[in-house]
Amino acid sequence: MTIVAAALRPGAGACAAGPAVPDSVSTALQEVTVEGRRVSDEVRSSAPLHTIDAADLKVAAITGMADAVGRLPGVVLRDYGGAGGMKTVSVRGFGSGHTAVAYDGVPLSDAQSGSIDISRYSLDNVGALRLTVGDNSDILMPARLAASAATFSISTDSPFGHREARTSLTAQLKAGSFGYISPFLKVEVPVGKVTLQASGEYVHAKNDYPFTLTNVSLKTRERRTNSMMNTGHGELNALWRVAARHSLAAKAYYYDSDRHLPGPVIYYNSESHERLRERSFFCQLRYRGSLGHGLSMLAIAKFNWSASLYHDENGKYPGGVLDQNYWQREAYVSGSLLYTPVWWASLDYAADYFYNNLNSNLATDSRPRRHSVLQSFTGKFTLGPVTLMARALWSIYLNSALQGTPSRDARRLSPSASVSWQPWSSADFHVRASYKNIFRMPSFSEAYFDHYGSVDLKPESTDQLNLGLTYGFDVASWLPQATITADGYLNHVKDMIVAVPYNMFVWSMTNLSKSRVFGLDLTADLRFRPAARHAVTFMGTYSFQRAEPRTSRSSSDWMRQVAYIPRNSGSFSLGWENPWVNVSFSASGIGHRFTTSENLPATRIAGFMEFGAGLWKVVSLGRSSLELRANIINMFDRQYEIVANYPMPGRSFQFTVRYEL
Amino acid sequence: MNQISKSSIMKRKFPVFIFSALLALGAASCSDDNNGDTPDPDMPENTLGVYVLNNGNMGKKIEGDITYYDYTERKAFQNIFQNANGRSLGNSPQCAVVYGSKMYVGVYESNTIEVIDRNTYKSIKQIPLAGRDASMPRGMVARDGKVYVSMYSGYVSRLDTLSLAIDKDVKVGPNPEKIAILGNYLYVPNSDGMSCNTTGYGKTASRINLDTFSTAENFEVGLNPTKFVTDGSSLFLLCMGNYGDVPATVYRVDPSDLKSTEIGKFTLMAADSNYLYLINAPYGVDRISYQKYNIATGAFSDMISDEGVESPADIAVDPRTGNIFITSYVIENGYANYAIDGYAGIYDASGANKGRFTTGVGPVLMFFSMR
Repeated sequence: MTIVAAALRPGAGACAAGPAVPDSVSTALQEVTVEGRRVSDEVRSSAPLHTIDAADLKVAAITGMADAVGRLPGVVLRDYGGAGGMKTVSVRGFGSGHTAVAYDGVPLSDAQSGSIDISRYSLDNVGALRLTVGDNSDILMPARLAASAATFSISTDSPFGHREARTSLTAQLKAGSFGYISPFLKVEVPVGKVTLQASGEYVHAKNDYPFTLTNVSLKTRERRTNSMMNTGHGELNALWRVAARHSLAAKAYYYDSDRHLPGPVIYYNSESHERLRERSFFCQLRYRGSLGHGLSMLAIAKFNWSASLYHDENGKYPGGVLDQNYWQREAYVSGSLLYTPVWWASLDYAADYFYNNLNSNLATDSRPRRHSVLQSFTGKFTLGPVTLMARALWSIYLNSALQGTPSRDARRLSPSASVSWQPWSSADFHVRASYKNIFRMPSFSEAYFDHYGSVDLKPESTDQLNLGLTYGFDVASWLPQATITADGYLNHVKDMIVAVPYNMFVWSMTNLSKSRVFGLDLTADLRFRPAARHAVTFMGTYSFQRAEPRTSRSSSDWMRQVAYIPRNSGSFSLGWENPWVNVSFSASGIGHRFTTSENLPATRIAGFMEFGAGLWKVVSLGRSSLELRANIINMFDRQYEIVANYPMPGRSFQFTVRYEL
Repeated sequence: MNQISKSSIMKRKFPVFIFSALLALGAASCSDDNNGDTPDPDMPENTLGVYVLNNGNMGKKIEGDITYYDYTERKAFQNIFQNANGRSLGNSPQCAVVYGSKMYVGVYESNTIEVIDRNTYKSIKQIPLAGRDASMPRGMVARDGKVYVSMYSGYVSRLDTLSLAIDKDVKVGPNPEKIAILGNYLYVPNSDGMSCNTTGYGKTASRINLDTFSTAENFEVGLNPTKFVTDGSSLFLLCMGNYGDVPATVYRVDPSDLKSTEIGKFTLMAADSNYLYLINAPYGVDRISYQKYNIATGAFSDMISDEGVESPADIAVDPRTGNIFITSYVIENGYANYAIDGYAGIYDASGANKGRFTTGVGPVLMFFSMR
């Protein structure tokens, strides 16, 4: 189980980007695995693409979803701390609402908040994580995945992608600091042409980690309180290989989480009684097939239900309690048709429809609903050393509300295009350029939240321009695989949705701000084979982001740095796999940030560098195997914050025992 | 940014008697208190300066503190608590009163009352309120050796200024705000602000007889009552309405029958012995009006002679000099910026602009330093 195996495993999961050859679908459907496929995807993609697969998680000492996201270039993670803290993903200076999150190829959604909390998703069953900035090079995909500035895809380790189905059992127990314990179980059974898989995990954590509170010149050692969590998730998957090049995948997913919320650190007051129960259920069907005559199709149907039940106890509320409950539903269908008349050209049409609604127990609930119709037209052409892609996305969002005024509708055409050029056929060196114009709709909270939302909101618009160089090479048998990417970008955000005060008591959302972001993302991925049965993996990223508020020259934030965006961030990891005990070491850090776009000195949050390490060993027991893993996280016990007043945990440990049959 | 000059603060030999501008002369003129080391509080001779309580902005990690504007030096000193104590005053201070040799500050989010020495600004005692039924301070007034604190959890608590401990809590209506004393009664506006999304804002006020300080008597008032003030003989109430179709309104409340009579539509008010000082800034940006209401005649006149401040946060009138102070947020891109330092406009009794000074972030309350 070394580097070669990792390279052999392509991005698992049905949403895997296709290889650059135009008949991507048929290739994928034939389940052909190509050595170095993962790398070639990253190198050949005409828009930035970064992948972390299951093997990388180990060699890079990645211990959680937030940690994984932090290793991706150009990403700012908003992390409220600890296992129970919400975590959202922002890419290249765009707000988290501009990053779509897909789970096994189907978009997740939260119409209420507009962004996805990735802390809900564990790494226990991850096959690959993939970040696409701009357009995905696999053009057979739902129109909705083209409707965001960036897409973060979570693909589970399932037979739906490319690996062989087999009867297997995986049992894992993970335990760690601050009262963390998490069992995980997965069973996979092939029955004729159908493969069934069931998996589930449960997490209990106290999260009562200590932290140092700096109060001007006073330093005190405190502990997070009211932070216990119980979370579980179960999933049933079925894959039916109807025929060669035809597959139908079904998934039923349930998540239930009961968390105590510690809230922000408030000086002299650690009292908190907030609780949040979140439940969500979805089921999805995904059909992918080749229809002959150069036609392939992808069809998706999904239903999603989720509940967010907030409870607080405080003497200020009537009766001493506050219960704010929200329920939302989504029905989603998508169909795409790919036509490849000649080997060098393919055309895709995708049409998506989704319906969202939200209701709550608030007396002021207006029961908003939204019908969305998205259609995309995409062409992809390979002309000698040049691969060209162009897309037009036509979006229609129609809003209504059972009570009160509905939010504004939106109809827009969003163009995007990308090109990749391989100047020398002998070298896997590519120059790429891409442009994408896209917007996000106001979330239901932004549009309707009482005394806060505004139904007059327009969408928040973005433009992104990327210019990059990628190089994949092998030097010799001791360095069989290396990838280097460098991308520079220029982004614009306008009509940014921000909260503004009408007076001290009434705030509202409005389209106000503008910003310009330019940045640089560098990555290096080097896989060494110093000797037989030894592999050393280096992965490194560096990002520079200059995010300038450009709303008005007269305002005090003009051309400073947008709140919470660090100018510098980066990470690296080094893993050594060997016949004895595998070792990995990692570091990631971000520079200082400000909680205000005015960059007031008092609102500076210090930068930090966090180090981690892991030891792991896989013991073969005949047909089964036992894996033992120990990780140390934040080993130098660095005290830092990502979100103001939400301290992050100091040094902690995690131990994992995994049995696979 | 002005750093506090400790020597200039320490130099002041005389303990000063300060009271909340909210109460104007109400508390002082009715007070027969000669508690402790104070000079005769009934006869303040001179005003030394004005304090501004800055709410800060917790979400942006900006703590609250106090700005002091010294009349003689014509200079503002920022963060006077933090500079004297090496620690933060806390998150969202909402109310303050100066009484005897001490200053009392209620810090809402931190859920504390800081008792501060008026001369050194050193904290004498921090009274934690978390875990009490009566907690989350919103309004304050002092009389006869006691500081009364309205608590957002629906109480008024009585703090004994000798023991520096709360000796009694009286239940009032939900979410009380800024309180005042007239005659023998403490008047409490019950905003019921936490019901705004369900049953709507409150329409009651409470009064408590200070002789017994045992039960509250409730009475009907306008929608969303948030502030009582008094000129020493009359009682005025600001009701903020619902920030929608019911506008903010100022009423005169007759203490004999507790009936309200409308004075006009205003969002901020202060009082001295002759006038009510009224600002109507319903949307913070435009249509701001500044008026003076003659309490004896009921006549309105212009309060100031220029266009005023950008986005008023509080108004206070110096009871000795008649100087008017109006704190403000800074407007940027058409909206008040709640993350940056505010300022206070200074006007003399005739309404002439006498300049301005910088405050901290969120200058929500002013009160005077007198001797």
